[in-house]
Amino acid sequence: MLASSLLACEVDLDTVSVDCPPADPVNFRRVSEMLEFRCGTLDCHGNTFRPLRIYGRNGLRRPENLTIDGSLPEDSGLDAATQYPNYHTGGSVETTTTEMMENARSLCGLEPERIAEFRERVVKEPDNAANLAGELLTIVRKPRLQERHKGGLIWTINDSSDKCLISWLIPVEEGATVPQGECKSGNF
Amino acid sequence: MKAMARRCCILLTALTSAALAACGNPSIDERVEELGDEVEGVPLAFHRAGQPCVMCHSIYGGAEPRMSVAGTIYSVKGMVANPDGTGTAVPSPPVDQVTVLMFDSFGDKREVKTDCVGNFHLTPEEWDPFFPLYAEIKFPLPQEAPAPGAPAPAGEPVIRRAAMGTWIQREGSCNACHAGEPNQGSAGKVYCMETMPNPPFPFPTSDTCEGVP
Repeated sequence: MLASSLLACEVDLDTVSVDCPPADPVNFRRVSEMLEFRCGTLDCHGNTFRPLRIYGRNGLRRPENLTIDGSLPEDSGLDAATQYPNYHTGGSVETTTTEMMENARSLCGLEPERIAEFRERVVKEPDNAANLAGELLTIVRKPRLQERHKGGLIWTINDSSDKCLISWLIPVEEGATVPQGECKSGNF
Repeated sequence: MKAMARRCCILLTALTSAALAACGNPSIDERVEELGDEVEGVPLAFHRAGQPCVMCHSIYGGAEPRMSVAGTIYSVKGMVANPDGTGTAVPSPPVDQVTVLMFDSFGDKREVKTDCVGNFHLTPEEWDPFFPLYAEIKFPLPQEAPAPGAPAPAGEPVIRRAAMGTWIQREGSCNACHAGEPNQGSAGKVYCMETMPNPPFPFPTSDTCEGVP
C-alpha cells in the first residue's frame, strides 16, 4: 500500500523543447523596449502579481540581492560595486540581458505550444500573420482588446506596436535577424 | 415559537454577515493593514502623506472623499540634513503649491495643487480620466526670505518643470509605485529636483502648516 502510494508521487520530468522566438539582445532588444514602455510599468505587467511579468529599467527590476560576501550571482550580469547601487526602477542601469531573456521567456511561456503552432503555420501563410496571431495567441489579443484585458486597449491591429510584436514571433531564416523597424521608440 | 424565530433570525444574520465578509479582497485588506495607524495630531485633511491614497479612498476602501488620482510631492530625492542641526539625516520635505498637470488618453487635462504636506487629489466628480495618463509637475523655486521689515522680493518666482518618464497605466495612487526610496520595485517618491537648491525648500512647521502636529 505504502509502496504504491510512493510510486504515485513520482513525477515524470521529461524535458520538452518549444520553438520560441529568439531572446538575445540583437533580435529582441527593441521589442523588449516597446513592451517595457507599453506594458511593463509598475502598475501593470511590471508587477510580481501578474502572470505575464515584464522587467525593465523603468519598471520592475529582476530581483537581484547581494550575497553575504557582497557579491552578486553570476547570472545577474551586474557589477556589484558600480552598477548595483543604480539597479532600481528608473535607475541608470539599462535593462539587462538577463531581464530581456526573462521577458522573452515570460511571453513565450504563457502559451508555448500555441506560439510554436503560430511559428509553424505563419510560414505557410505569411500574409495572414496579424489575423493568425490574433486567432492563436493571448499575448496578441489582449493588447488589442480582442480578449478581456484589465489594462484596456493598448494598441490596435496592425499599428506599430502590434507589428513589432508579431515580427518577433515570425521565424526568420537562419543567419537573418528579426526585423525591428516597427519597434522604434517614436512609434509608441 | 418566538424563541425559534429569534434563533432563525440570528442564524440568518450570521450567514449573511459571513457571506458579505467573504466578498472582501484579502490582498487589499492586508496592504491597508500594513499602512499602520494614523499619526497622532495630524488632521484627517492632511493625513498619511506618502501612502497610496486611492487604496482606501475608493469604492472598495470606502473612505471619503473618493479619489480618482492622488499622491504626494517631495522636494528632492533621498534624505537631507535635519534642519534641527543635529547632523542627522531625515526624509526630504514635501512641497506646497506644486502644480500637478495631467492629461488622459483623450487629451482631457486637469491641474491640481499640492497642500503644505505635499498631498494632492482629485475626486471622480472632478476628473474620471481614461488611462493611461501623462503627468508633469510645475513648482516654484524657493526664494530668499526678506529680512525683517524689508519688502518682499520683486518679480515672480522662477517656475521649474519636471515630467514623468513613463505613463500612468491604471493606478490612481501615485504613491503605489512611488513609495519610499527607489528599489527594484519602486521608482521612489515623486520629487521636484535631484538636489536641494539654495535657498532650500523649507520644512513645513506647525506654524506654517496645519498638517504638522
